[in-house]
Amino acid sequence: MAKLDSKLEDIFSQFPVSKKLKRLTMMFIISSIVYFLIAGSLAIMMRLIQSKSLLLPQDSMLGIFYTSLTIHGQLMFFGFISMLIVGVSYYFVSKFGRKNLYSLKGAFASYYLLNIGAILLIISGLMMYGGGWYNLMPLPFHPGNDGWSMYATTIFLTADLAIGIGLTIFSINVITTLLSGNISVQILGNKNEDSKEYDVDSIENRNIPKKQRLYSLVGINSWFPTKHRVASPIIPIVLIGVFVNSTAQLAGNIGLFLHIYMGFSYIINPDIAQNWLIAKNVWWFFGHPIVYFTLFSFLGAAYYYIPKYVNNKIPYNRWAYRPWPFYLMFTVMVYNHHIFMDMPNPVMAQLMSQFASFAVVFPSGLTLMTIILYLFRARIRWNITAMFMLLGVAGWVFGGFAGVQTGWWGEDVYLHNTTHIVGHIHLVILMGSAPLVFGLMYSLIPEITGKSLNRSLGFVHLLSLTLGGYGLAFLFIYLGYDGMVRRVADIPSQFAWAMPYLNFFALTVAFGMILFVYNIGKTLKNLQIPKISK
Amino acid sequence: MTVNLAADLGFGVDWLTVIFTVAVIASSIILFYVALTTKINAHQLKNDKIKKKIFQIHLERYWAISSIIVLGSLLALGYSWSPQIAFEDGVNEGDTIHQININAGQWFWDIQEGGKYKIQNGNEVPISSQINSKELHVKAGETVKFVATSKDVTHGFGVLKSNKSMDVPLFQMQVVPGYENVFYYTFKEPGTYTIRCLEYCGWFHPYMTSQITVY
Repeated sequence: MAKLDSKLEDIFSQFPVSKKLKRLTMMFIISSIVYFLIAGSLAIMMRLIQSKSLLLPQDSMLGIFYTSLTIHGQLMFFGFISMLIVGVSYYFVSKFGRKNLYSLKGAFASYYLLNIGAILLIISGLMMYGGGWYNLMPLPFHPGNDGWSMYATTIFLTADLAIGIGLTIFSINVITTLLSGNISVQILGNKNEDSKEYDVDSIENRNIPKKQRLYSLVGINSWFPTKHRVASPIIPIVLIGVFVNSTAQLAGNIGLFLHIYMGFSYIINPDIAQNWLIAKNVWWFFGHPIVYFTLFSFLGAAYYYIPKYVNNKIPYNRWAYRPWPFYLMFTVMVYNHHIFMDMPNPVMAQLMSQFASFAVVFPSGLTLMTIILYLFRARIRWNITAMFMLLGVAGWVFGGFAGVQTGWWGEDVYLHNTTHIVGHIHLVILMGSAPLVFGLMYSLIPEITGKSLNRSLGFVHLLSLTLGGYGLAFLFIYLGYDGMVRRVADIPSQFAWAMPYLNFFALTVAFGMILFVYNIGKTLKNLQIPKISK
Repeated sequence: MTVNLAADLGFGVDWLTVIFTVAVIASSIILFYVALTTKINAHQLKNDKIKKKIFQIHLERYWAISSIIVLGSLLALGYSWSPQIAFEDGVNEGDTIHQININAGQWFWDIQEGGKYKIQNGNEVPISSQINSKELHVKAGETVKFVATSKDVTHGFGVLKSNKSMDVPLFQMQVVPGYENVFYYTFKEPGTYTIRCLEYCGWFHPYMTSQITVY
């Protein structure tokens, strides 16, 4: 890891990120928080229905629950966290690449497309669309009663199309920016006596040949023998996180577009036979990368922001770079483990994903080890950002344990579609990616706007997320071990005891989020966000 | 490792619960310990032999190697538990298979007797006529081949370990429309078992349940 002392931080800050991009980043952040609040409200609605706290007729209860379930899932993924990732990644590319984006217009286009997608999702929700966030075809076309219309399904698919195009523009924009023109490179100096690694002396922008640049951007050069490794360009790790993220998602988006194509084909002509197993495969080819999409850019950033609060010198560490080629490879291969229970799926495809499910744990474990070693006896300044980031690391570890269990083909027989999976995804996203995001917000918003967020409110936000998030996620996991099935609006009485606790934990998370939004609103009040000049 | 007629794959839920709990507690202790070590003072930090030693031995290298060994072992251990692999191991020449046909739809299970077969020269040879009856006579200890189809959307055929409305699945499979979805299972104990749809299939999904009695 680069020695990110104040000297190097200054070097990164020397490149003035354009006012337009800063403004766009803030637009992404604000939009994402709005969608988080809407998606969070839908989660509370689901909790209230499952706990039978709302006295509604059965049809209304079921309809509202499944619409909430569908829109909550998609809005959290695309309106909240993907929106944040895209906005913050653009900022990182410019700041750490020390260059302008290849296309600022493209960046704005991705912002508008993601918003159009999110708004269309909400509209489809208002039309009671409830085909599940994972859009399990052919259910969207066969609700089985008068649950939702084909218009609602069409709007939902159009929303996903807009989101897919937005994410594709983002990926191409980032990849093109990093592959064209100059790029920032860390210049290694002397070998550090303590660590036996090299110190980073300075950073400069260079025009590197494409092939060599590709090795570096994926982290392959970190596996070269020492002589070649130190001679190859070492690109700031934040850029590697964003590049791997964009590349994996660009590949995954192919699955989304195929899925949408199958959907629209069926709407236009239902007589054409569709293979719904292929539809499932292509959805998850997209659906697994989108889970990692929430993580990689922030993970790369964690390598920068955690050492930033460590007072001792940290040298360049090749082990921080080494997981990235594996992330890229296995993130794309692992999708099939979502459909382990589909017996007609080819055995070889299942075995490939079984291998990839374990293989992707390898780089994750390595990343966690390097981050833990940064923290170990490091005399860190425990500010809000650092605390949130440690919380995110812990959530990722715990979520990983649950993920290994459900990603084990034979064990998935007992866990698939139980609330164990709900617990796993909440550990990975709500307690993994989200704390990394929130931690970054406490650092990035002051960096962009020059105004600090309130520390005390931030601390209460941290506490409520920790209590509510872990309470929710662990309870889901243990209920799953006990056989509680997910996506069931009407919970049998044997699990009724758990509902008040789930409600309490969900409301605790909501309380923290309201404080967070209040904190941002209070800080940004009367702030002069740079106007876009023509 | 061979699987007993494709029943009870893997460790089972009780062991998974224990393993997860232990892993979470152990990693929490490690993370707390690491967080506590950050209180080191500047003087200690300057002369921190432990930190230097960790860098010198490249702890990450040993971590990477041991991770590969552990993950490789888990992969090898779980190979024979993988359902489709277990079916190949579990169904042998000369075995008698009892077939149950399931037709799923929004929101019902149509479960019918499918007759019995003997495996001869790798083929399924009928030894009782297929009676398409809803009177099932599943016996504990016999290998049951569940063949499920769907007339509309994807369902999840899950047989739970008791007659409770919700319980841990003994096994499950997705029922994808357009395919014959097959799962082999051997019930160990007589009793009544709940059948529940484990894949969201529309608004009335929570009520898509049935039962199977094993004698």
